Amino acid sequence: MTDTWLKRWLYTTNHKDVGILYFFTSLYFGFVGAILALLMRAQLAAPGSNLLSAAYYNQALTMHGLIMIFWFLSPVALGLANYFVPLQIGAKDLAFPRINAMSYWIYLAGGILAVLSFFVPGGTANAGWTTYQPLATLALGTGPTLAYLGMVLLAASVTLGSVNFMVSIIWLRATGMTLSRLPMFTWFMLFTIIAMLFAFPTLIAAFVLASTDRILGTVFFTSTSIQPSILWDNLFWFFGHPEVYIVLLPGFGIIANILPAFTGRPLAAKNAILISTGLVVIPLSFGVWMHHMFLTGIPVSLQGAFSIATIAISIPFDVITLSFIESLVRGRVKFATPMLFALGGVILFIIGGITGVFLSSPVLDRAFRGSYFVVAHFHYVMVGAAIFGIIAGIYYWLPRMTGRMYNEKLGKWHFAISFIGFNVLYFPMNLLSDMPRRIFTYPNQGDWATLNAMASVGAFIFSGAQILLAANLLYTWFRGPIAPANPWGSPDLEWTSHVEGIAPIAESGAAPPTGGWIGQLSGPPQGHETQSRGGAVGHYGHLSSRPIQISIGALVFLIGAAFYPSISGVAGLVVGAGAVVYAFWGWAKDDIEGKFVVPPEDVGDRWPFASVPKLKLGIWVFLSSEVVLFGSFLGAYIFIRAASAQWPAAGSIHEIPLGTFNTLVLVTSGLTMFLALQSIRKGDRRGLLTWMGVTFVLGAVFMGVKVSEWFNLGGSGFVLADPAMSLASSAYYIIVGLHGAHVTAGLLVMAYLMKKTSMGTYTKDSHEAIENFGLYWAFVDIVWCFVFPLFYLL
Amino acid sequence: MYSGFLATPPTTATYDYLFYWYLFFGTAASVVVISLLVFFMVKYRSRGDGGPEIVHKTEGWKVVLVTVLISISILSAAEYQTFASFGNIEIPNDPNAVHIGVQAFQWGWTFTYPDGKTLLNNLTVPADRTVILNISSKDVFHSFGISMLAVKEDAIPGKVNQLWFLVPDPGVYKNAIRCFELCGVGHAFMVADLTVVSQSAWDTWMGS
Amino acid sequence: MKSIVAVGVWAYMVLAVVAEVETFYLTTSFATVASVVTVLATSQAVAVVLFYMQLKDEQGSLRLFALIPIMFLSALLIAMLASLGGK
Repeated sequence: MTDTWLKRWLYTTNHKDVGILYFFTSLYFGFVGAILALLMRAQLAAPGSNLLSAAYYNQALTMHGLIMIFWFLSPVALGLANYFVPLQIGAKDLAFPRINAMSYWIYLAGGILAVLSFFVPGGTANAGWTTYQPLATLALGTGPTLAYLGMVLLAASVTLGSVNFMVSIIWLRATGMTLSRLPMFTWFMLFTIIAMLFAFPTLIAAFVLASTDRILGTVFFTSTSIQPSILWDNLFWFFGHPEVYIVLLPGFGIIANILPAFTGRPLAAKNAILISTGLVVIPLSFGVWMHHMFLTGIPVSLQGAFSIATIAISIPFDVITLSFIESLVRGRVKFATPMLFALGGVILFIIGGITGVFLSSPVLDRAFRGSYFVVAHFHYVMVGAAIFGIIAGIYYWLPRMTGRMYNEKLGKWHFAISFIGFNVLYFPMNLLSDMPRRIFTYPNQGDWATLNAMASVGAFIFSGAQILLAANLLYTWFRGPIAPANPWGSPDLEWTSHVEGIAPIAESGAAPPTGGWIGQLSGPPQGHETQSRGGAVGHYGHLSSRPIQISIGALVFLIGAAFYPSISGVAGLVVGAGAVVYAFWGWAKDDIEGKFVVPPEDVGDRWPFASVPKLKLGIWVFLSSEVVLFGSFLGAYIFIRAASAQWPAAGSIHEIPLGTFNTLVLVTSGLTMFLALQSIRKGDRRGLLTWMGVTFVLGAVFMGVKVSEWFNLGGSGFVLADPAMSLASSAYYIIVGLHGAHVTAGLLVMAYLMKKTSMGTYTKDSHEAIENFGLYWAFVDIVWCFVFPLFYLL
Repeated sequence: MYSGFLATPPTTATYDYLFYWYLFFGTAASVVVISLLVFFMVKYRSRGDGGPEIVHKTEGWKVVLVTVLISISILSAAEYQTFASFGNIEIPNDPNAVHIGVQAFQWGWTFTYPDGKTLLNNLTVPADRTVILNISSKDVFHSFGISMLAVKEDAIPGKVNQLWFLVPDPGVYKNAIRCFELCGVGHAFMVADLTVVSQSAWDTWMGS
Repeated sequence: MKSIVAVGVWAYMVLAVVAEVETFYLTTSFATVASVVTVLATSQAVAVVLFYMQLKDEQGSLRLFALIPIMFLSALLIAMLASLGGK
């Protein structure tokens, strides 16, 4: 029994189970982040206090930010999305269940790295969650390295998750679930996911560069000749501003989703809300990041342009807010706990949004930049609006997740104390516009002492209130009265399995009246033994040990990387890489042996990508995010070139004839891969094998030449250690190396595909994998078309 | 709320006008919108099964249109005010200006004066003359801010940023200058004094 | 798509690479090389996306979707370089 229980949670690929895992894990990280915040507020309660030293304070503020934003806020929303998006769209699961489990385990591995980083000598990262350079890189020690590698893992997990959700929401909607009927939470998750898809790759690029600086000694952020601070600011805030909406929108989606249940009338101006968010907020969110850089010495004209873009982004939010308010008009407003949190969230968002308008002015920013005014602003948005919205969602969906009702009285107290505590905590910070943020102590000057004392009192009230949330969760779980199947009278599919015009789905949406967390288990546990073999019983029992194996491998690998070049570090790298390869091999083996088969989905509504098969859509979505990843690396390189006065002359380092030859080799492999695809389209399996073999050889030649080039370059003094060469070699080895890693991964996949071809898997009518791999290989080809001239000819 | 601005310098005058403009409309907007929310929430609260007819239409384009129009007018006016205040952040072309170099380091400020003299953590400037600071950093990212003048600019290694101000009257302001970007364990103590001296005292000091 | 078209695309790719390298050898002007390379590399990317990745045969919505990251990236690149300019 225990064995089955453990296996269920470790190997599950079921969206509800994974959602529950996300939910509890993120609550844990939220708890850690809150403790760090309370430590800071205790320290700041009085001027001149020395509860925490400056060093500990800096670590606390850094990890509070990173953990709250990346390991609590987004994942708690992803947990709810995991559970409810498939239910809301009438899908049996997400599009790629194993990748979903892998997203969770990689997220957890990243979190473990972040938590571990506290316990190494010297402590953890201490340069703020914004990780401003070069401070962050100059702070030595393994702790920050672990934390930053944790960030890389987290971002990888988010990217996988975004691809998965994107494809699921497009492809797995039940028949009749047209986009116009999509519930608001799913809509907003779709917007969130699109922003994640294109924002997180830049974060990966930034933290990979920062990590290689720490581990391998590259000089992206330590060479002061290239304005490393500006490079970091651009990469970080290009990600960082969309991130604000990534954090905010799930909460808004929940508010929009649940308002009708408590007003008895439909949401007002639903289409206006969708257009505002999808067509204005999301695209514009990628064009406002420089308001974080008004004071970095960028040209005044650029400040003006970004000021206009920033102030413009408040217009769609005005529409959203006013539509929420209009949604109350001529309804019958019921003040249940979810509704209180939703309305409270809207009120706090109004305050946070309006202080944001102040920050759009470069002139006013001369006073606010780096002060507590900024702290107040983003907490009103990210805690006020986002968290209040998410708490509303937790109460709203608890009956569905546990089959039991929460305690309404306790919930109302929770809201009242939270709302008061929140304002006592953050409103004083609005008034502290002359106090720098991130100082661990302050003199008794002006009204600083009073306002800080207030904020500290508020912090303890606000976090104390969350004990009521925990109590209510436990009460619901163990004692709550059995919930009716649809306690809110909601018209959405997660509550009612039958909605007019939508085909009924296999898994009934109604909550069985049992209690406990409702995940994949709905039958007797012995079902699992049979389910894990061949999937005879249906999709719900599909267990896979591979996601957690991959995640453990990645964890060990990155711990090794942080301790590189010590012996234990190298051992970690080798063991971790081995484990990852082993797990992927096992994954492929499961596929070949048919151990894990995702049953085909029922035909549903798939506009606007109806003619694109599921996996192919996944590849396109993934590649679109890879475009931003490579674009960020190459953008960083172009920035470095533009910023540096001196650069080794083109042709003086790299052998152009050899590079040209290699380029032609890769270009040719693009053709041969296409011919391989053409062969199998005609049903010519032999031709497929031949052309793929040629592609493989060309790819291998390309990598061989690359490796020999690297050896020669290393031998001829093109090394990081040479100050004249350090920048050029940093950029070359890391970016070209990253491309090489993509080619190598492609070679491994090709070997697998050739094995499957020789087994006779692919036919004239079924060769999706070949086509999808062809997309990847062509993309790698494209990247090289830019890398070659940028590094060899310019 | 911060009330320590020096009243007379031009940068604070411009800033104050702009800030109160934003504050007035910002407060008005929040009060109106939050009141609307509370008003409707109370007015349309559920009173059992009775009560007015519930609407079933979802479209509310009228409200949307009005919202967009009002938002655009207020926000463009705000943006206009901001652009009109760009004098605060554009460096004036004043031949009579005093140029002073500022180098931030972990953790303090070195000020280099026109005659080559340097002072640690003490910015001395002549009264009633435009002062232009050329700000850079020796090591990491700092941010140089004088709250009472509403001026601030980042101090970035490998880069020189400028800000300007003018203080009409002499005076000594302890710890008026602070670092506003996390720069390591000494961040909280990275302060400097601002000393404003008369033109004659400045000339004497420059000559010495 | 016929295989002969694919071979044609390949020929174009090869020509573009040769043209890039030739430009490098023929001129010492950095700006010339940079602009020729930008144009040719972009044209190569478009050729590969349209033909080898067969985007030209896909739904219009997917073509639009593929443009989104390009749009965001252009914003990043342009503003990033602009942020280098002094006051």
